[in-house]
Amino acid sequence: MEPAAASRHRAAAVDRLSDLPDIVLLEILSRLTFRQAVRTGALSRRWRSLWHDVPYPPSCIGIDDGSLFVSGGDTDHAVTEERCDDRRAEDESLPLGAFRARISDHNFEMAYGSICRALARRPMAFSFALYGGACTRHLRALQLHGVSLDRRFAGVIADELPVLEDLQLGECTCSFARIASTSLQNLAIDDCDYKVEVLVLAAPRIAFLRVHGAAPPVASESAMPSLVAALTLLGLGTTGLLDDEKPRGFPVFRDLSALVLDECDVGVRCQVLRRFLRNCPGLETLALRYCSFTGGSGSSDDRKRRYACKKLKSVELEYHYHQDVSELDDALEEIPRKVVHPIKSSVHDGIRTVRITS
Amino acid sequence: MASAGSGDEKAAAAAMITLISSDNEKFEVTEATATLSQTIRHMIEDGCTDGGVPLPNVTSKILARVIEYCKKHATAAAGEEGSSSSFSDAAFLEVDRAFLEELEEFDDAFLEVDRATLFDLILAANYLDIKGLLNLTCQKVADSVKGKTPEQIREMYNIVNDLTPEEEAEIRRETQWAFE
Repeated sequence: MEPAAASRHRAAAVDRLSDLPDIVLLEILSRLTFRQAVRTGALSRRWRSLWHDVPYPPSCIGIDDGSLFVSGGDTDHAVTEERCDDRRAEDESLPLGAFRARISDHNFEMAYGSICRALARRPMAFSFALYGGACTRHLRALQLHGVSLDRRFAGVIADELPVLEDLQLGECTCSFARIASTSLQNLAIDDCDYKVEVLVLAAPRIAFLRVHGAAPPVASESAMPSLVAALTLLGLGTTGLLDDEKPRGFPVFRDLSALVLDECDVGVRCQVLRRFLRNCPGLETLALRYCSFTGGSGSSDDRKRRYACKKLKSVELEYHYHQDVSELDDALEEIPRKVVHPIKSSVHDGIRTVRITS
Repeated sequence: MASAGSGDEKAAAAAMITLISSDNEKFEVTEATATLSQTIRHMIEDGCTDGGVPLPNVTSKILARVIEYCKKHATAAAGEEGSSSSFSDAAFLEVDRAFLEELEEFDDAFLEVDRATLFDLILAANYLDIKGLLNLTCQKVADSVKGKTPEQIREMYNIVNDLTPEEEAEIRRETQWAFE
């Protein structure tokens, strides 16, 4: 008697639902429509990302007609809310609320048609998961354009793409904070929309890296010893570029031969540029195009230090007419003299496009 | 070997199992009833049920209800006695329709419990790994939140919103389509 009464008393005060183990809550969520399950994400921290892991039966395509639009109307919706099966998905010609598929390797070809048809119905949310790994285990190149990649993409890269060498993301919405791969060699991220504060790279074999568009600060956990071909960074914002706060946090690019900084903010007193110069002993060509050199005051202990890039042969510099380049002037001071001298005089003379090859 | 009726004989001859609740009450049940619980089934298979099965996570009040459920559903599964898995959906469909309806009524009545008991039953079903009971109880909770707004669900289950207004706004923005 007592335990029952006690538990009833407790229930009035505590949140027994949230106290249930994850596996049970996922059982409950899997009994809701996808749309409803997603809405539980706003309940509390406990619930925030639970719905990401709602189990679906293997080889099953889950479709939510979360908000079937009444023909033509953009505002009238939510006619029905139910999870449909495969058949329904193929019959319907109405726009979809959400499409979610979890497909095992064996059924991929069969499901392909459903996926195409679902996309043709302009779903408001599209979630597609391949599991089993056989499909992705041999994937060497992956190009994604205009898709939304949530935080789980980091796990996909790390676990399900063991031989991936080439990754290109274009105009994607990125909510993942980490790219960790032991096989990745080429990485291009173009015009993506980031939902994270910092993007961590842990890809020791990377040889080519390009980040275009407004990117979050990129930090590297590992040295990138084989980054040889080129590093192109375009339009990187803020001084947070490449984790420059922590000691030793800035990666060493031992074999990097070409560096292009395009519309980048190279930090107060050009500290990002300074660090690049110091950590790229093999640098041969450097291009700075329309970067911003935000003014900083006071002296820096970074000054009067020899940069390591003794192989630097060519420097290309372009900047806007009214730009204050005195900071850059300082930063370039210790590049080996024979290369930098002509640049310095060009800067002094206000020439805005300089190309020097020694 | 397997003539008709041998299943019944086997069931009749089945050993009894003693289940011991957290408050030390003993319940004697048939093996057929007990093995709706995968947890207990594995214990039986491993031969570690001598002297009773202690269930430190389940009170006598809840265990009595769980056994009530299992007894009813074990009858439904009786046709499958001897097969290694609990009753499958396919086998389930072949059971007499009238019996199915009766079972459904039983389930409905079984769920007429207060919320605290419902959560205790869920935890017990999860711990004992009784699929049918877990399905039943989880469905009840799922039904209770269907069509509700996050605010309504929070109020219903005393969920404390520990998200900052910014975080909540962000979540709603990220999954805006689900809130439209």
